Amino acid sequence: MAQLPNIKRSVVSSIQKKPEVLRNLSLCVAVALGASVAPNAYAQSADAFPECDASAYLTQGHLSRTYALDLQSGDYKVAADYHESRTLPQYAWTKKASLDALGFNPNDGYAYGWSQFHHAPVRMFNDFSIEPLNVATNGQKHFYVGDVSGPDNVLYLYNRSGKDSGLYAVDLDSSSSDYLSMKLIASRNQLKLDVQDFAVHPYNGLIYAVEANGTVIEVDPAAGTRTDLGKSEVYGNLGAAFFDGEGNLYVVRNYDGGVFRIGIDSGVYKGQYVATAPSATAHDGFRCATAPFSPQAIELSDFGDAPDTYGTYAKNNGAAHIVSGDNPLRMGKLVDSESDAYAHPLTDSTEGDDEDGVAFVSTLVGGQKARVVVNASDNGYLNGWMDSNRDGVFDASEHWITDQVVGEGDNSVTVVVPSDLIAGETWARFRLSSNQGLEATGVATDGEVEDYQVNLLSDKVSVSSYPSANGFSTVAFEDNWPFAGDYDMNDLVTKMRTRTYKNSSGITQVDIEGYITSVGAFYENGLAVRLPGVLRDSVDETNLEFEISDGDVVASPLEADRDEAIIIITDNVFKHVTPGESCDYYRSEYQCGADLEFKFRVSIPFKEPQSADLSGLFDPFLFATPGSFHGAHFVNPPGRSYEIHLKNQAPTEAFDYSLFSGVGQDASDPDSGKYFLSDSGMPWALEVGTDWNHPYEFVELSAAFPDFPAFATSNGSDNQDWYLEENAVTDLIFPE
Amino acid sequence: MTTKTIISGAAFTALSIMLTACGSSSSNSDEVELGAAFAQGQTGSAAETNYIALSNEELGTLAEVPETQTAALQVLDDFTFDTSRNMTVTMSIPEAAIVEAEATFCTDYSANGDGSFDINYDSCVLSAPLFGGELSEELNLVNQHDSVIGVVWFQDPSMQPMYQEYHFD
Repeated sequence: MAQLPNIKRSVVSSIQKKPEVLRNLSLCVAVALGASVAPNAYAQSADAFPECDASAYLTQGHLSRTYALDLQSGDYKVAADYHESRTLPQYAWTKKASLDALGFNPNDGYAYGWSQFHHAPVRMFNDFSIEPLNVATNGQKHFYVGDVSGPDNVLYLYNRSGKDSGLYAVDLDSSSSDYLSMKLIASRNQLKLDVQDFAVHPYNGLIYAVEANGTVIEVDPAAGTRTDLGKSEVYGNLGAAFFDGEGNLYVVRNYDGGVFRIGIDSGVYKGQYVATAPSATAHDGFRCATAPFSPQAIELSDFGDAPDTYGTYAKNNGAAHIVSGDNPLRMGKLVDSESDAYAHPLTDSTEGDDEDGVAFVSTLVGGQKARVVVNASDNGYLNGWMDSNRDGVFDASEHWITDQVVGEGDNSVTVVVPSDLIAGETWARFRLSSNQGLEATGVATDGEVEDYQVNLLSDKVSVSSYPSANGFSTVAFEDNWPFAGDYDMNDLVTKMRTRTYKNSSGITQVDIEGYITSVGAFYENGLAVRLPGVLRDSVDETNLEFEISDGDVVASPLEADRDEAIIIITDNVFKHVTPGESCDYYRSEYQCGADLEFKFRVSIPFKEPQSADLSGLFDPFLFATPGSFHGAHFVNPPGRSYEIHLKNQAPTEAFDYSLFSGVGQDASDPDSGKYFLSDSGMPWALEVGTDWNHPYEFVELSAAFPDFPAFATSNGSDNQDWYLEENAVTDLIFPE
Repeated sequence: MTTKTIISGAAFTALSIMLTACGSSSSNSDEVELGAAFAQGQTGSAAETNYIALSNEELGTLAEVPETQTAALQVLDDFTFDTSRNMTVTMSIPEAAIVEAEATFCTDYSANGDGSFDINYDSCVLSAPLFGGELSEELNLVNQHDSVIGVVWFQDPSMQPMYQEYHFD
């Protein structure tokens, strides 16, 4: 298998910019190859893509966020957060709203593809919005494979299951009498393609792809035939395919984002590693196929992560530090080199967080001194800002560290926290450079910027973090209660950590944050956290803060009409995650890895200090999505009245206690305080107090973690660290 | 339900565990027992349940579940698989009775040999002020940690931090 090289966090030398003339090309200069005529330059429409640029556009996720990928460096940035439908508002989109089979049409400058929501081909405009086309689709609903043929001005689509499946062509020539007709041109049985995407050669009009077994194939759509060309040695689900103007095919592997070049015109079929793109459960993408491989040169810098109101993106003069050399000046061990920022809530930290050089070793209390430890790779000047009034900008008065000289290693810095702060979550920025006099924004010639989310306090409190300040615990569920499942403990897996703020009178606030890391289930489930012993009315809901990574928050997560304080993280995890192509589940099957799709954070202040015993992860639980099927053993979908908690944790007031009827393997006995345990004492939910790697799909816990049985049967006396990765069977656990 | 092959580990010897009678509830009977929609002792009648049948025999194939080693493990009813435990930490720092101070407790650290420590502050579990130079707190530590380091920071930046280690017995 073609393996990715051992990639360190990239520190890339500056790349000299190419002359500006290349950036302003509005025509694709094509060299005629074979008998086909090069595509015509299109009459520019105002809403078409303005130029045949060299970026490859990758779409991912159920609402299809699109990234612009530089094939040479692997650097990528968000081009569109989601694709606005010109016919439907966003809230009408469902979990199957992805865009696939995308291709760029050099004849008119639009991109075309298939919408799983509309069950129709769509046209994509230069703002990445889409519009379904009025095409008679012969009842076909789903296509995941496709591309536009420039020479033939058609959208090719391929599906391999269902009635009349096969290769279809949608005519995109507005001057043709067959415009927007969709015809089956070769059946599935004729071609038998095992591909997640294909690409059309920019000049000869033939279709090329790499099958999951590494075979490079050529499809002649006119003849309805396929030819096996050779072995690429690139294996796995290759969800996106592109061409460049030199006749090279590029494929992007879903589970690790590896980008490989296949020399179609040169006949060099063995895949050559090119770059690493974002990994995803499912990819698709498009590119102007006649654009040359070598894009305009870009100068890579380190950018901040704070929301763009603080000046983060390049277009807003964001804080940026040019990164060069093998050992650039930085804070901590890691530094990013990128063409633009990933402003919160986006993140580029999936392969290692470069916000690793600053530690807040004491709390930030108004009017008090606080201690910050900054690790510097070399001598430099440190500047810092704290948004103490939480207005979303770093004011001049909030420049709380000014040109402080720091040396190599740890530097203890004392700062005075303003007494007139506004308590709550805010952002702090640190910049290390050999440059003096830096502002909160703008470019520095070296060094690094690190942005942190911090909590400002108005009074002295103790702050407890579980499992630690920056660590995560893991909660893993089996969702087939009251029946025992396969004990692969990955039906729903979430990472969580909590923070508890306490003064002399009690707990004043709690924070919860986390992310979904696996959904190895067909049932639709929600995730929630109860605060044991806390009444809903005790929560200062006006000042409650809730953030999710993949969209806007439209309602308070505090469950309405309850006596208890219950936080609903989501009522359906499938709103936020997507199984990969050729995968049944999210991040539980072999080679079905992907970047994380759903993160959450909630801050819950109380009106008065609480005496409740809030510790650990409080009470996380799974519940059945209202209205969704949860097993034929139910007369009606149980919805919110169905919950699964950690063993011996009582359910909430929403639970239907009649479900404790002794059905299945459940041995709950509310009279004795026993809940959600089997007749052998085994649970349906486990908390593992660390960032845990769950077993692969269908691999039971005892097989993946051989120390677990003794831990369980000794009732915790033996093998207390059974969950550590060093004690796992590595081949049986899902890699993080 | 989809038929699937469950991968089990090698055969192991099951320990015979005598299941004890269920222990008493740990909750304070004087407090409002949030989380119990029904008063203790009350359960729903068969007529009220949402199940289509109330026995596995009646449910037939709907009640079929994979046979796994994990499901067969015998565990005490009141064992809750905790992977963390509590540690009580106390401090009595005379200097902190004169100058305000705050203590931070972290689990990932190493001694430098000169009385100071290298500390990974991402591993910290508690930051708390000292009152009158005194502190007493309970930490909830995951099982792989046997010790913590406590660091006392003074509001006077000229004062060096003080360190105190704690170990589980």
